[in-house]
Amino acid sequence: MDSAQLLLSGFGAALALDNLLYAFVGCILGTVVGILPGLGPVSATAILIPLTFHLSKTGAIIMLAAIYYGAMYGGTITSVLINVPGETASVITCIDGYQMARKGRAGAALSIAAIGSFIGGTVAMLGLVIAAPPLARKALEFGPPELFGMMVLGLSLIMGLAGKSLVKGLMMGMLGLFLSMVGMEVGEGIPRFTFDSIQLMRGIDFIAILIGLFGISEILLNAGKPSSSVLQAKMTSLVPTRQDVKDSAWPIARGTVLGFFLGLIPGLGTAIPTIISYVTEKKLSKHPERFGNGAIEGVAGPETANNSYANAAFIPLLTLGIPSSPTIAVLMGAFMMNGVTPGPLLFRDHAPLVWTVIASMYVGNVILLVLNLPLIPMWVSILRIPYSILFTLILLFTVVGAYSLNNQIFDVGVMVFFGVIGYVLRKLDFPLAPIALTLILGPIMENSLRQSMSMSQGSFLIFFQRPVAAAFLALAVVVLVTTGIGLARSARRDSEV
Amino acid sequence: MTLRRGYQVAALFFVGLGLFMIWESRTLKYYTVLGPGAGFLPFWVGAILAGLSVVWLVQVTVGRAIDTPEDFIPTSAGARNIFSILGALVLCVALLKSLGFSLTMLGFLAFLLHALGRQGLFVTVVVSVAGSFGVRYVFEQWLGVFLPKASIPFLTSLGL
Amino acid sequence: MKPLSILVAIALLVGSVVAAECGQVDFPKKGQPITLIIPWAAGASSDIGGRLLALGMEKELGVPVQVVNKPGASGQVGMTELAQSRADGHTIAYSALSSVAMNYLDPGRKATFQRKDLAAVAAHVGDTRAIAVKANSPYKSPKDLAEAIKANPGKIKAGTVGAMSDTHFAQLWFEKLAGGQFAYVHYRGGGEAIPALMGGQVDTYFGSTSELHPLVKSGEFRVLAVLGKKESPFLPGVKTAEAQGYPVFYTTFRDLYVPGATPKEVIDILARAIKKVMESEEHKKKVEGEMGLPLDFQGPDEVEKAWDEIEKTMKELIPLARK
Repeated sequence: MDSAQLLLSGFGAALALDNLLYAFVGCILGTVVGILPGLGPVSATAILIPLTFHLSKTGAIIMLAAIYYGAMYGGTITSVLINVPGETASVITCIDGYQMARKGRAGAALSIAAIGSFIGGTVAMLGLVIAAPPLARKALEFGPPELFGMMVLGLSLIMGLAGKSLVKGLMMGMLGLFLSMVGMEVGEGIPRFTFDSIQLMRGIDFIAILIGLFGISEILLNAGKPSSSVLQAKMTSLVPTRQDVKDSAWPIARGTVLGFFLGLIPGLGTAIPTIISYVTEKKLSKHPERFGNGAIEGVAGPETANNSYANAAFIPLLTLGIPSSPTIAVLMGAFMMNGVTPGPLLFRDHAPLVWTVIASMYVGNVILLVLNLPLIPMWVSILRIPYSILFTLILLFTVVGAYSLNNQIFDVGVMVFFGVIGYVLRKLDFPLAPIALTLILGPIMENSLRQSMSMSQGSFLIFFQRPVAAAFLALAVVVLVTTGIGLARSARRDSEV
Repeated sequence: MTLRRGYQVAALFFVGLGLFMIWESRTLKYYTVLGPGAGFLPFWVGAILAGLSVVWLVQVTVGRAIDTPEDFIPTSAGARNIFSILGALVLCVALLKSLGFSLTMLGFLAFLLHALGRQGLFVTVVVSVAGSFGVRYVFEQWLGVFLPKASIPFLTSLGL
Repeated sequence: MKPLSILVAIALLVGSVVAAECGQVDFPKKGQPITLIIPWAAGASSDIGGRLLALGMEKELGVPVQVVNKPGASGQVGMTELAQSRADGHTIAYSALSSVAMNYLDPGRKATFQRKDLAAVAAHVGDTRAIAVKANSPYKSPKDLAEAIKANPGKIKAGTVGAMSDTHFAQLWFEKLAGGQFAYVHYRGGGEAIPALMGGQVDTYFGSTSELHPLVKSGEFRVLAVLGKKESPFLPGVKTAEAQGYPVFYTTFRDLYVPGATPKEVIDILARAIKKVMESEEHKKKVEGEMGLPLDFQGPDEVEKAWDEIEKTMKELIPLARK
């Protein structure tokens, strides 16, 4: 059967009124769920079971898929508006997106994010239709050594994020690594830095740390200022300017490609493509110093990569039956509860269903765009609420969000603690971004190193025997050397602290 | 309290953290047959952190003059705000387990809105009730997320 | 006082004495929800199995059963919380027996609870493990694998879902019997381990029947043996490991637990309700038919016996894992 033919009939089914409604409701639910930190998989699961009792097979799957990619955008909204990351990937958007909001450009940031997400998602779906099964299988060859190489490359690119002072940036990077090491070490199951506390044994939740460092510190900083000067920046534009669009074009293109290929690799998570897009954009930019102060490229690239990844991550699920994230695992559960087992035989045995779902995802991406763009003025107007009420609402939101991550009051405490830490660090002019990045990438790097060593029984040669891994490591060396040279040059020019 | 002094204190703190990490890593295996062990990364992160902090400490102590920004130390009003918010947050975390979400947040929101935000009675009551009992209801019934319940038996019997 | 009210008072008094004599226990307390702790993250098939059980129990017991995920430290976070909860039957947990035992038996984890702080209510699912390799692998039987790891110690890679996980222990047991040595590669969950086997990053993986059988059906994997006492209907034609000369038995039991001090009557009420749920057609259809999780009800006493067995096994295997 011709793929195009199948896709067309899939569209026919997807655009049926009831399926359209499910996609629509799913997008709304997803956006709402995505706004609240830590809710994704839990709510999806809680909704899943009653749903499958009441909806048709197809309907339930369509709605769940819509919730999944709808949730991606929800996290963007809170990152841009109030500097609160909904999930680890969203923290990247906090870095430049929130700065744009402070300059009154929240609308532009949200718009570009929505448009970029749409482009990334749609192209990823196109990629799925054209190239899915062979690519997905090739991606399975991406193992621990390759992942380690990629992490080393990512961490070396982070050096460029240090901002004015390399020393302070590196110190923050080390701090992030320290925090990521608290908990059970994966290789041997030994607790590290846990002081015999069961709460520390499960590892400090990264999102709780980040909400505290970024969101709570912001509130504390604003509290310390006389109320007249808290920036309620005039909304200078709800729409991106022509310059914005020009600046975003290449980041969006790069983000799409990056997100797509990374989506083929099972289990990477949204954080990695987002981070890599950000550091790549900064490295390639002609004005890297703008990053961290409201550079639209810092929003366009990562947000696109995010969504492109999220859509591409369906490929391993549909072609091989491998879920790339907890929420996709819930989706897989939905398939299975309807008697459909994702995997190599899915396209053969359940073609109509699969193509309907794929078509529905196209439709869903459009719905998201149509839904979100007009809503941006509404979201931005949240910033018009008098700060004396808004700050209380933000605190309520973060307390609930932090608790809902793991149903632990301890996480709320973590958030408050790191709110104070974030306040102090920002007062002392330390950059927060490196903490977030080493926090997220550090454990993956250590883990993949351990795994690679287990595979090779202690030999480092494994990294040179596998071409992709070796390539990543070589690139990392190049990056480190060029960054080092660049820094030495600028250090000689001015001895800045 | 100048910015320079603040930098120096921070540097000392980070040196301490780095040394702590090195100390803790001695009980972990540094290197195993299969490559770096659990103690490898803690040792090196600690060492690098301590080293960098010392370098930085020297830089800020003997280097160029450092200008302290005007708003470095918050005003007394500002400091009062900060401590009030922090105090409310800490109290909230402490009471969530015994009083449960609804009651704790009711008090938390009411305090912040009225005492700090200087809102009138109407706004305070409406937002506090919606933000505590209302949120609890929505999360429990529609999202399947169960926010903390009270552990004092009397309150439990009230369903809080 | 009017004679009528005296009569009513006496009736109530007699009634309550009679009720007490009959061992009537006020459980579940009217209108008070039961909290079901699941000590891992939402979304996995095991989580869905627990949630389906909760739905059924809600109908049987007539009170809301609220599922709360408390992930962390291989289930230790959730079980610690259970052990510290009030023992009135309104807090229960759904977890894997081997994980629970591993939590408190491994000295390095410094668990704050011991076996006496927990009590078993019933077994829900018994997911037997099986030896899986890629379909084009040279190994066709456990013997092939055993000989390979003996001849090439540390060269054959075995994937696990984490250090000290069920997969790890099952593989250790096999390794001990065979007298060889695997190279263990620890992943975080089946979501990473299965692609690893598919991509050839590892050579074998001792997964659960429920997660492996779709991949056998699709032709990706070959299963060399089932690690149970009987063959599995989900894996037709695959003999047990015992029958092929390697008596390794590893089944992941997912059971319900309550705090140790919970009264026996309460446990029995819970067990009865669970049994009714598991006998219903609807539950069987969803859990076994659709999720592929093998139902296997066992009452409190049977689970306690299985628990004794697991403790014995764990006590041998934990030192091996720690080596």
